[in-house]
Amino acid sequence: MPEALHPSLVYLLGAALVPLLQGRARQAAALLVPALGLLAYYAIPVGAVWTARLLEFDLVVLRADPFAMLVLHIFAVVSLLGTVYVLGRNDPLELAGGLLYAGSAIGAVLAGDFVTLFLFWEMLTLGAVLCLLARRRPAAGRAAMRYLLVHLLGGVVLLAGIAVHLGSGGGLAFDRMPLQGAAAWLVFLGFGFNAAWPVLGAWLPDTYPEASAGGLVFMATFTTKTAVYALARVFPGEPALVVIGCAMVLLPLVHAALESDLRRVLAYCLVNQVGFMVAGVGLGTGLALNGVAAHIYCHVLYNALLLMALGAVLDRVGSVRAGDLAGTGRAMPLTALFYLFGAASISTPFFCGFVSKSMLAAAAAKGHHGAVSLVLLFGAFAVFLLAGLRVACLAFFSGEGGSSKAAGTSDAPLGQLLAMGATAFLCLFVGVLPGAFLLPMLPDQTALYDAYTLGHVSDQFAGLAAAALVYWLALRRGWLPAPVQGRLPGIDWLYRRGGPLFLRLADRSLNPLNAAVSRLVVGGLVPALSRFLEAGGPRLACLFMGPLWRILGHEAPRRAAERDALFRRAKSGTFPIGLTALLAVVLLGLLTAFYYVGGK
Amino acid sequence: MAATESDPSRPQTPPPPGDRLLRGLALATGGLVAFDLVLILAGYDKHPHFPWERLPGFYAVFAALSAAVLLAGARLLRRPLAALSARDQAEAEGGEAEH
Repeated sequence: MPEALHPSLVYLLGAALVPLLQGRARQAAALLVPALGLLAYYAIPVGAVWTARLLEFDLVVLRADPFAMLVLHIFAVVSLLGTVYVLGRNDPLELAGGLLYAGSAIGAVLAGDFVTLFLFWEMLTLGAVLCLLARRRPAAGRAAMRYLLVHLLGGVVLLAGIAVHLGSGGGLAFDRMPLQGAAAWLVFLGFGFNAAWPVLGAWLPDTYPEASAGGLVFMATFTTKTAVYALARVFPGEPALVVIGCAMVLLPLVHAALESDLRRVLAYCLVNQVGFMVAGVGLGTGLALNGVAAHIYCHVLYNALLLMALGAVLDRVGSVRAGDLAGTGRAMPLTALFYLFGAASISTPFFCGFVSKSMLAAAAAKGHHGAVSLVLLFGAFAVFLLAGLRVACLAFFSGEGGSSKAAGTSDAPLGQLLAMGATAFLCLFVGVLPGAFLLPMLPDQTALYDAYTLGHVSDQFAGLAAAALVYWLALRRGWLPAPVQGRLPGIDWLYRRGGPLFLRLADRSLNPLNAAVSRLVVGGLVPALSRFLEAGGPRLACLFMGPLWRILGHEAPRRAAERDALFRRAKSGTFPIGLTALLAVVLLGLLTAFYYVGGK
Repeated sequence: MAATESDPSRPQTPPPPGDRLLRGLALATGGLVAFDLVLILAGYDKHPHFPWERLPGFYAVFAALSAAVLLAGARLLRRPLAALSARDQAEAEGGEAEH
């Protein structure tokens, strides 16, 4: 039985209430909701299970095991920080979207059955759409529509998997499932849409940069992490996930190295980091799943910080494109400092990302997955260069320019600085003291890993220094590829180009076929059949009666008149009773004759 | 404030770093590789799981190679990706003009 309020309900009620309020009342309510949500987290004892009945289903609406509680904690923390970040704008759409999003993600994470999971899973999409619409420009509206379509498709695939699973007697439990049979594959793919797998995940770099500054903090926190959590629940140790995860680590890197929209660079890097988590789920050991949980926690923190800083630049300067941001570092020094904290948190020792990534790397190494270890190592250094050095340099250290858009701007507003400062502190705190609360929250306390050994720390520093050296040398020599100003084609290019191509092919093949069939059937066959059905019978009757009239000695004019009369009557189906009787007698006679002939 | 198109005449890459930064990084990398060698010679057990982890300075060399491969790959793919991007953009602008 519930002894406290379901945390998800706190956010969902808040999301419904906040847009109805005005001014400071709205801000106060919006701030109160995530604060209460965080309190609700502390009110739930680890191990609690709450059930409810919906129609004929016994639902587990809350399953507070350690893994769920860890994800719930970071979601609650970041929804509070994100709300502080967006509070200054006081945009009802952004505030409500963020709260709805947080409530849905928390509901999905706490779900213990597939029905509850699916309900909250679909609500996530609505939260994301509100965060996109909060940007209030046509491109964001179009991105919201694309996001909605892709995620509805993903939701349908997931629902189909759940339905087949239920139909085959698989039960409702949101728990481990072998990747065998249609149900498991559909659920697997349904999760894959939200986890932004290769081919299924083009929506992420497409839509994220269109969100509002604060909206993107929520978007980058909830959807992919909820999907990784779901994968870890249902498909831990599935080898296919190792391959998918490694592909996610590698594939977005070139785009991140060439993209000019810096929030899109971070979107590509987000895919790379989710790849670490997906690969960890695929490894499936206790240490790997601890690494996944820890990396969900740490990545949510430092990714939120990076996006908050770039969001502050977007709000102040009006652009986050390479080439528009000269002088931003000087105009927004605190924001630049917080960005550097986020960049350091990606994989530098004494920051949070180092702790979690080390667990995943150790899990791959202990399992003797040499290729996976090298891919993860490559991905870690690459993302440090791209999200760390490249974006930091382009956003904050692009020198000075007389016509810079940053000229005359000031640092981020107080609310944004507070949110960034608190997030930066958490990144550092978790990195320096992982044993304070991150490690005790991990799901498998028998598989912990100490990242702070002398050899590991010195190796990591050596790697980061060497990577930075090559990057600076390339910059010095002019070897860095210049950013591409337009939208870089990704895997979506195949269907963006393939779609119109398919339409053209269909137009040129199916439409002529349709026209030919139309000419043959509609223009020829059907009218002929119609004519036959209309006049065929009367003509046959005339054909039959003609010789009879001739035998009876009727003259030609009379025969013609009789033929016309018969044709009219046969066509309208009105015969004199005598003639009908005669025909009936003839028919009976014929039948009798056939009967005897056939009998002999 | 709405985002606007960037001005191509503006610098697209950050200004090159000074010699001091490069020298500092080179020194740090060299020092850490030397420290790794000392650790190995002193018999410090890093619990390696793969043979390559026993090589002194492996992480520095691998990171430098990773950075080089990434940047070279990006340079190599820049031209075709930029061409596709430009074609997409031209078509999109053409489509908008038609509407």
